[in-house]
Amino acid sequence: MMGLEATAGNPIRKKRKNKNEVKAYSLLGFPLAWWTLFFVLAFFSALIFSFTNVSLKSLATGSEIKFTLDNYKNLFDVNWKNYDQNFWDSLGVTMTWTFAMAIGNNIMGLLCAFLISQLKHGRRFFLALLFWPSLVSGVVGSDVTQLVFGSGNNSLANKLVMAFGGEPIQWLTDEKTALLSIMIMPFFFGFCTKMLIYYSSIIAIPNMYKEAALLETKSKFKIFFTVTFPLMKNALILNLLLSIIDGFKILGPMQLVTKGGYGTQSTMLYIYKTAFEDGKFGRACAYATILFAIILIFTFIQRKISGQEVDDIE
Amino acid sequence: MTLNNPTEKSKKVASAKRKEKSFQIICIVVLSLIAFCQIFPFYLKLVDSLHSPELIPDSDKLYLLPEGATIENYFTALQVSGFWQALGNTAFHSVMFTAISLCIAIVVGYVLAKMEFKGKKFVSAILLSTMMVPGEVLMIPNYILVMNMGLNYSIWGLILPGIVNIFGVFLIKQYMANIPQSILESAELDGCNEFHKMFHIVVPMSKPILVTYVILTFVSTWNEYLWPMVMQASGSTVETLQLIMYKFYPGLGNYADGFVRSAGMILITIPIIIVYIIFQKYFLEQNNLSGMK
Repeated sequence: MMGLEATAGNPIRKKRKNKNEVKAYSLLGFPLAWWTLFFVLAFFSALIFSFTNVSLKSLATGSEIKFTLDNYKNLFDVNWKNYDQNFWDSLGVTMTWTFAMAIGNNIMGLLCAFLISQLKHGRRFFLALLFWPSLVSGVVGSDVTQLVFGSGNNSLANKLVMAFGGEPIQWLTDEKTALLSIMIMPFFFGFCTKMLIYYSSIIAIPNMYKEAALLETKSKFKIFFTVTFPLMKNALILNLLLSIIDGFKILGPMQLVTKGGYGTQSTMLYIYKTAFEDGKFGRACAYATILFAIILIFTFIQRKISGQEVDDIE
Repeated sequence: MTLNNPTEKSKKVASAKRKEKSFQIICIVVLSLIAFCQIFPFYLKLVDSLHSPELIPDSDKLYLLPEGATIENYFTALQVSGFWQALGNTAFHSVMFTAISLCIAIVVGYVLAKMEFKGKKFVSAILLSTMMVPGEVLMIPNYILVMNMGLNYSIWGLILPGIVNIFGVFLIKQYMANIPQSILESAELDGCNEFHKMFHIVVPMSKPILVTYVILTFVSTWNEYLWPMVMQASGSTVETLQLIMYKFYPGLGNYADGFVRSAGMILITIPIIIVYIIFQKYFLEQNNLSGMK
């Protein structure tokens, strides 16, 4: 009897398992296909385009597309006639932005999350109050930046400078200050999501750790740095990763406020302009490929340093 | 000595309490200060939008209160040509994108979290790896693809490319993974099929994360300007609110233009603030993002 059941049970179970696969993949079918089209295929075609001279014009007229290495020669061969210093300059702007935001937003986010977690009352009030700027659109945000950093004597930034005895500054039209002025507001106020992630990480830490630490020291900051902060490693890693990815793809403020002028051309903006204003798709794809490679290197380094696997971050 | 001890102790307790209280006050003051710095620039924008259209601003004065306060600028902004059309487009775009991508994220999230099948790990891993690819890098191939599909002249060109939202899939998957398997097993014994399990058991139990997803997606779609701008580069005539506000110069004269523009900026932010106020209790308190750690 027993033997019969066991031998009979196996095929049935196998069939059941297969049924699961059929079910799962039929549910996944459309999303996976769509994703393959718009992510995987797009990704590889960008890679292939980067080795061609494909352009808006050649797509419209259907003229022949040639394979060429020129797009990369433009970037790496200093002696080449079309050597493209602008790209590397734009990369400098993007890097400056990324590091500044990674530092500023994480410090501010951590500070706010810590302070809110210490409150006895009104935690949600302050979370809500500090989170809302992340809901403001790039268009509106850049308009506010233009108001605050206006060139006239009556802008907020110039009023502050004059209050400290300085001369009014042409914030957005001076090479020295343009990048700085579009960075100041995001630097201090772009921390909303990060604050939320830190906050949920802080309150997820069991109270007993803090109680144990209270026996040793009364200083809240000491407890924070010796007990709480090390336990927030995952949140820190996630936030840094988000900062890097968000930072490298920045283009909103540059495009909307200064239109890429006065030394504020970021790499993404340069890609956008090359592709959709000049119509040079192949070239823009080469830039995008390089940018993506850099993002990949940074996330890889960051993984190595933190010694984390994908699963943990997920 | 022994008599002194209790009073000393109570003194200590009292001073600790006082310290605690002053610490609380410091926290509140610092947080309020940060909140004030965040709000103040937007307040200036609000003041700007409330000025009388005839005002010629004093070039040395920072206006903290509107001069001849009126909401006329708002009415002017509403009458800008194409405003209502753009409002309709943006609303349709945001609602459709949120709805479609939510359905897909629920299905994929559910399959990855709650079903056992061969290749699950692999599918998860390759999907997750695309989170590292910023969508902007793929703008050019997607542009060509949408053009070849002939979608670029309609609003579906804005909606369809991104409907498989990997971020949403993993946000929802993480939450669903915490729902006890035993509930689903007992449902299966009762004869529930996958769709039944998905929409009658798992979805109601994941309400907080779904609300979170809806808010975040709705807001980011409402605010999106880059992809619509790219679509316009291909000859599309689909206007969205963000685009018309960005390009907006009604030609009423230098200063009045600025006031109306400010009013328009405030107007396109209001719906988002309303959505946020209604739903914030779901997504700030439920600690949802902790799933992402």
